[in-house]
Amino acid sequence: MSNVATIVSVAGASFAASFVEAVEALTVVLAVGFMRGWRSSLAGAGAALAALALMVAALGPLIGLVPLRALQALVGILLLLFGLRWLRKAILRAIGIIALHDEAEAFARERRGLAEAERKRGRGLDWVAWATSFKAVLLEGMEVVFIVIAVGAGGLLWLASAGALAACVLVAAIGAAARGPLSLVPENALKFGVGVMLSAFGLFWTGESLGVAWPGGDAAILAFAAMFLAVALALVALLRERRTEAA
Amino acid sequence: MIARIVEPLIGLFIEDGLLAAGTLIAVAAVATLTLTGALPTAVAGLMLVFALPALLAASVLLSVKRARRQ
Repeated sequence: MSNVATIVSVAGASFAASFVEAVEALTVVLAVGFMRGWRSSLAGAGAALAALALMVAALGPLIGLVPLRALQALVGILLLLFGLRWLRKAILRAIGIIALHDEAEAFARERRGLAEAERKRGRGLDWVAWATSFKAVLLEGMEVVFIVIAVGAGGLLWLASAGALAACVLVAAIGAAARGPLSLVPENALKFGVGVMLSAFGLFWTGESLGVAWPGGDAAILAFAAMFLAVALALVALLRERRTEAA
Repeated sequence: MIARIVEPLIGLFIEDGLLAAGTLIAVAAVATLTLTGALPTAVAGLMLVFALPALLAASVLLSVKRARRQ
């Protein structure tokens, strides 16, 4: 695969996936901030980021100790599980079987839950707010870390990290400016694209770990992405049509 | 607190049990056949290329069927 195609696929997949995760984390942090105060919310988010940094610093160097084939197999299988799950969900959302993820609704739901907890709150540190932000940022952050490691596993960790960092910084900047949920982000379209890319990377790495010499080398990733996209779009078209007929 | 974090972490990879199990079984079967020398690597690659999108399609179709029944 040419350098440009490599950069676009690795950084693009990492950016888009991280963007979705960052939006989800930001939605919770904003809801907590509005309801319970910014200090606790930002302290929880900061603690989660510190925990993530520690985890990456501690576990990152261990990646080099794992045999390449084993790492490819592990990353490939996890990417397949992760990518196919996203793609399945995006297809089901596109045909209306499950509801579209609505960040505005998630924001409102989080606020309602916190208002309930507010009534039970005593004096002292607001642990509910802290823990809610901490959990959201830690979980979404771990997804970002996993995506970066998996997508950049072919020696392009720096590129995947740059894509993820750019997404997180962009989301944080938009969140700071808008002070509201990023409900305008076309999340399902992003998840659709990311599911396609992660599944394609997963198929590629799983095959590589078994010694498959893919035709075209790295360029096979793009062919796999096209294949998963075609299958997903065909499913959406077929099942939408059937639903329309049934209605 | 730990359980509340671990549960969604597992959910990151496994949501539809059938899809996750099918993926693991397909990869394990192809890997076993390849590593024992029963399957050339080129055929292994081809099997993965066909099996994984087929599993995705099966999982989606089953979910739609289940939803219609409800």
